[in-house]
Amino acid sequence: MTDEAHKEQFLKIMEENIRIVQKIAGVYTRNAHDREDLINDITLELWKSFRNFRGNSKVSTWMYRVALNTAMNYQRKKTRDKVFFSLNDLKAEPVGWLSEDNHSEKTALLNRCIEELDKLNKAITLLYLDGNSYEEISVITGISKTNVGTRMSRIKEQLKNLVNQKSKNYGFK
Amino acid sequence: MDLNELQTIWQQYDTDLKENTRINKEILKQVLLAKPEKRMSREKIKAGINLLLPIILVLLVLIPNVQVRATIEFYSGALLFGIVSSTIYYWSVKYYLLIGKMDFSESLTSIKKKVKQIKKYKIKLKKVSYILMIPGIVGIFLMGGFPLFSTSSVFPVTLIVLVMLFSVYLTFRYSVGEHFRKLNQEIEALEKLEK
Repeated sequence: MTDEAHKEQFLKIMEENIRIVQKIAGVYTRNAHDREDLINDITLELWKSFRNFRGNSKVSTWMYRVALNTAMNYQRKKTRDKVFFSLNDLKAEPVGWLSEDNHSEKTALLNRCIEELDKLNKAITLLYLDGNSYEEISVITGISKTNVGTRMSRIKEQLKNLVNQKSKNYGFK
Repeated sequence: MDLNELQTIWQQYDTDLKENTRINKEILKQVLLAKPEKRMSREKIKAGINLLLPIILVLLVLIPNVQVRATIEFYSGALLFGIVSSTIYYWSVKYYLLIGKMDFSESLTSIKKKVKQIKKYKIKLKKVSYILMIPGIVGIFLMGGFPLFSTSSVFPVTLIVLVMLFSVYLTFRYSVGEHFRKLNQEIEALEKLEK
């Protein structure tokens, strides 16, 4: 495959699956600045890893794996690397998550609860909420299916308590 | 709030992200469209000026300064000049109307086709203008009663020819090509966004 065709294929995959990257960045960061930064890092790691991706697994599995590894190792940088520019650079008025935290209160509540979890449990929760089976979660995270099940039971309990505790503060039932 | 509801919230979040991405793509498209639209507007203004300028020159320069003589020389010159200028003017009007049909809200395929048409037409218009300019200048010389083939006319005629050749070279080597190269690049950027 030529370099140009390779690049085109990567961009196509990114465009079709960008929400995976957005959701992971949303869960592992607390503000728009860090979110953009993490998305840049994830995109770079995906591009580096794309050369070795032979299609042995689903595209989404590969993306989750790389993105989650990057997110779990993410540390805030003082200066930002730019892999791609945001709409702010074009002096346009972007909508949504790139410019400001535009989520509903319920989404904010959910994010606040997930933030309380440790890095691995965050990953498992995100994958579970995205509709992945325990088997898929096991393949992506590299932990056994039994371990996923055990962790998931504990996470459900922990989340339930966190949600009830925080929803009283937000005024939800 | 139970976990099923959390999953519903998460799904709604997913839908919102999808919608935001779509809107941002639309905004980016508008931003990318701005440059080629501006470029075409400038081209239309230039084409408009090329329609008005000849009329102004004829009214302010040619008519006040031409002395009508009842000679074959004068009438031949006037006929030659009239045919040449009408032909070039007709092509210029068609070019102006062609640019006016440019609509960036249409599909990219349609935009690319129209840009190609406009470029082709502009090159034809330039070629026709340069070729007809020679009989046009001859017509003006005849109308003005200036000698064409004499020692006194060698210098101005040579100068006119040299300037024309230089202008032809610049126009076809750089000007037209460069103008449409930039426009095509901007349209390619739009195409990449839509892929």
